[in-house]
Amino acid sequence: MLLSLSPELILAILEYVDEATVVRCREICSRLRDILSNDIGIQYRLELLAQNMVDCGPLSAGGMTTFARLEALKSFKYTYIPKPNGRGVVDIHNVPIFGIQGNSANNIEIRNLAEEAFQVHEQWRDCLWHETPGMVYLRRNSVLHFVRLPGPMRGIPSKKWKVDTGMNGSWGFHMDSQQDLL
Amino acid sequence: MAAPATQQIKIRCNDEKEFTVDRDVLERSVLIKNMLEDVTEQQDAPIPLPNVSGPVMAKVLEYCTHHRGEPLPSADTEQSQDETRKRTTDISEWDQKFITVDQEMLFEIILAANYLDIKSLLDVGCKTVANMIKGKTPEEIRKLFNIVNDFTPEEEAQIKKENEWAEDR
Repeated sequence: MLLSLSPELILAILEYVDEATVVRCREICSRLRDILSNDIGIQYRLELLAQNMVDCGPLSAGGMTTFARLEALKSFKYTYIPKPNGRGVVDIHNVPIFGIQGNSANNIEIRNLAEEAFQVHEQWRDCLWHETPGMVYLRRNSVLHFVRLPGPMRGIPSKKWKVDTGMNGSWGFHMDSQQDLL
Repeated sequence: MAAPATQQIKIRCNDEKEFTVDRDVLERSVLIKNMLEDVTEQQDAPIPLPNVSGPVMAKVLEYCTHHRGEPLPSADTEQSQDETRKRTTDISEWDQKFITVDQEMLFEIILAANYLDIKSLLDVGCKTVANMIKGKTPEEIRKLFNIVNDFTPEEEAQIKKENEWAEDR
């Protein structure tokens, strides 16, 4: 009887199901697999899960369609995410562009910032990378370099700065994500 | 509102079963509401509902009678699409009791709610099925809904491989 429902109704049911279950539903039979594989909304939900991101809000702000979001999310992943540096994976999860309006200019801005950060990294092989949502930062000797990625919807501009701690050698620091970094 | 509230409307299901119902109860169905608005003069012929059977309509009318007078959901579909991710599968106590039916009736109610355009009832039905599916393995879901696994072993292995990434999430 479940399969006698139209694809629209099956998808309406799956709106109420967690992503892990949606993924398992692909394994049930070919009809469900095809319905799930062909739906943009499902693809977007699974891509968000794969990249550990959340969709954060109404379309009303930017009118970006689900398809456009999916495309942005995919291009973001393929451009940046898997760049291991030997001491951990550089990982710019939760950059607050997704689920947000993000016009192409903003995307390019983020791309340039991240690209720049990675190039710096390539030159400085002894630097340490860390990650925190919406931030990229790296360390060389005593100096910490920060790049805050822009969040267009929340009106967060991009920003770059550095802090000279005056300390060389081995040391660490952390950011309190509860604190307002702005 | 007083005049239409007392008006009685006759409907006829696909098994010839007829119901005479208060207009405001029937207007929980957007389909019927729109039909009634299109008809200006008094009509004695029952409204034919070729996609709904008598027993299912009786259930639907029970729901509509209980929820009569409540505001209908707004037509702001774009907004509601955005809200979907935040939707819970909570069902009110009365609705929960109402929807505790056998599987065949459950799916009949979903189809009828979809056809008659009764969004809140459709939601209750979808949530109920979602709750049946949640956390279950593919094999358990197949068993629950009598679904035949029509994959070849190769296809099945392929999908399992594609799904691996999601296992620990």
